[in-house]
Amino acid sequence: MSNHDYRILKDSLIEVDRKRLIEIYEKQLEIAKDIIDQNIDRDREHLRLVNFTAEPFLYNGTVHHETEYLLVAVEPLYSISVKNFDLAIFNQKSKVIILVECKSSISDVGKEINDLVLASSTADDKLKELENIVGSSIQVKEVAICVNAAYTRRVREFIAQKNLPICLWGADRASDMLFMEKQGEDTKIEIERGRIHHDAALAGLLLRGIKSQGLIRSIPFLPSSHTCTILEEIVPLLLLKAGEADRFHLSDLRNILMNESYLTNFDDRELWRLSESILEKAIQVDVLRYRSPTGDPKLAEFETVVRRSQIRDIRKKYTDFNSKRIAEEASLKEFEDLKKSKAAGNAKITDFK
Amino acid sequence: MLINTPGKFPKLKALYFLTNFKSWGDDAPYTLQGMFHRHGFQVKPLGELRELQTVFVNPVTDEKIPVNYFAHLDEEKQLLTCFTQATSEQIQDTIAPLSGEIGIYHLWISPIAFDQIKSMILGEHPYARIKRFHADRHPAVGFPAKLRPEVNRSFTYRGEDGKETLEELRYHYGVLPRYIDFSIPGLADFRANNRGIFHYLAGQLDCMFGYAERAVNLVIQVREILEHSKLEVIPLTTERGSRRVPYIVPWWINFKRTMDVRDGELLLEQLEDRKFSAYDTVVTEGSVHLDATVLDEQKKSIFMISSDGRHMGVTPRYQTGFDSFLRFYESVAEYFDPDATCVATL
Repeated sequence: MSNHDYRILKDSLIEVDRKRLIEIYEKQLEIAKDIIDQNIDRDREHLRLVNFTAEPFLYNGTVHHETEYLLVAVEPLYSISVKNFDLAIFNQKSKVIILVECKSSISDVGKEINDLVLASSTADDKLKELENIVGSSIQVKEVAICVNAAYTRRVREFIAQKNLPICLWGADRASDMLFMEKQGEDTKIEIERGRIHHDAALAGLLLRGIKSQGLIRSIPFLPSSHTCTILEEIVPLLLLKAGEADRFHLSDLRNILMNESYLTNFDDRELWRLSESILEKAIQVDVLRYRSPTGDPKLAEFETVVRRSQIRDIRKKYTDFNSKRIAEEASLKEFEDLKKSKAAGNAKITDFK
Repeated sequence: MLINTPGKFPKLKALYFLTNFKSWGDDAPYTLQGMFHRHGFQVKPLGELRELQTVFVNPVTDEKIPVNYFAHLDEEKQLLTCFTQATSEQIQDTIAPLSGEIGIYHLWISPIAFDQIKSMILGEHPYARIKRFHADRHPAVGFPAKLRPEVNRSFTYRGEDGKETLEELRYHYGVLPRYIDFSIPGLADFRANNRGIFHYLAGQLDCMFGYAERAVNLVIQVREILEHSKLEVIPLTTERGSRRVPYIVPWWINFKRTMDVRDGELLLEQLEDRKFSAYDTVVTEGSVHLDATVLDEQKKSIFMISSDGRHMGVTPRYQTGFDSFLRFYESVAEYFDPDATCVATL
């Protein structure tokens, strides 16, 4: 079913049915807007946790300063389409890599942890790629999940129950502390089980808790962030770079991504792929448009639809476009279901009043 | 020359601008000289000074009035001082708009620094008086006021008891001074304006310039914090060559008041009036948190802000300079917390 189908159906209905379809559509539109808003908010909450977790590991940050563990990559497995692991932290001296997955909320703890175990196994298979990213051989790989403090108990219980080699970090926003949960009494055994970091200095710091203000936004978005977040962060940069001329090519978008300090682990191929994806979505929601359509998007010229003073409209444009699309599809389905129900003699009196 | 002949300059004003420039440059648009040209000034070299000539058109009579400034660029401090006898209206219309250009901003003296200057003058000269001042209250400023804080108000006061009255008005009506006329018996009379304009009224010019210099130094301390912030990609040597990592140094605003959710939302709205577009915003209740990316439409820069209600971290993102940050700090102080301080570390 397409949006075209919705319009065809609407035009073909008699007045009473059309009115009913529009009512269904308006209800669906509100639902769709709410869902999109919630998804965007969830994504921002996730990013906030990612930044909170990353802050002490930034160059010259507390942990980097004291232990040499440094944030070296975001979404290190993005190139092989594995979205798990938001951060890769590496110690150049000890050759230890810590892959960190951040979860701002957890509904199904079993699923989240199982996904993480799978991703960890993929990381083992892709050690060469990870070594290319960090520019060094890797001796030890450790996995950590970082959750908001409220979820640590549930996650700890699951990890213990399944005896998994996962370190558990908690983010306590009230005290601005990032800490590691001690999951068992015997430290030596916990280290062997992969639930406390091998590095005594790092483990000590994390067990005591590290201050993270969470007020340095070093990562404005992740490559797998919500499309709306990415558009909001990238389009203004394009607007400023393009200047008064307001014309640019896909390569300009790629150059912007290439200059993003936290995407330095992305190679050229990944940056082109990400640029094309951003451009496609921006055109779809009418934030950017073609100036000179050509068959090859790398040669085409684009311009912005939103002006500098309308940057806040990007989210609205995104939400309007997608909620409308979703609502048209959903109302078409609901209307068809009602019709079938009526034909089968199951309709309630309120369905068609 | 100017200082030795004060009698010739009864209305002398000294205007201070912080700049990125270390020289006047040529006529290219992004040099200091080019910038003045774009704003309709003729720039004539006069030894160490430049004479800046322009025309003010009286909006009522259409009369064209020549307006001159004698400007000196301190290359080390990157400080531009412009001397003039122009009226406030002429200044506002001719040279003030340069603050909207990239790489230059008027010497905005924060309310805290302005208070410090006031205290210095009154403390060092027990007989000094405030004989006139202008103070106002922005409609939404969070500064406390005992009486009807929701009212937009301004006062211009003349009287021998200006010092006490200013305190009383500040306490009861929540107003902040924009300019203050100081009278130091037997020494000098001058007006200090919080936008970096010092207006000579009588007595010894040196005295006014002495306090102007101290104000400059206070603002330069802020500038140094803002300029220290950075977003760079630095190379790190690795086993197999090198890799690049981000190096981020933010700057911080410490609030005296606590920002709640409503304050945060209001601040973001008000920033729009100053041509800051805040987007990609998150404002959460409970333990308050505010995140936003901010585009400075005037200075064409982008930075990110993040606040827990007590502090605000400001992280550079694209082409941020001290001028954009100073403008932002000014807006936060004027719209939310006049006692907000700018610091390098928390």
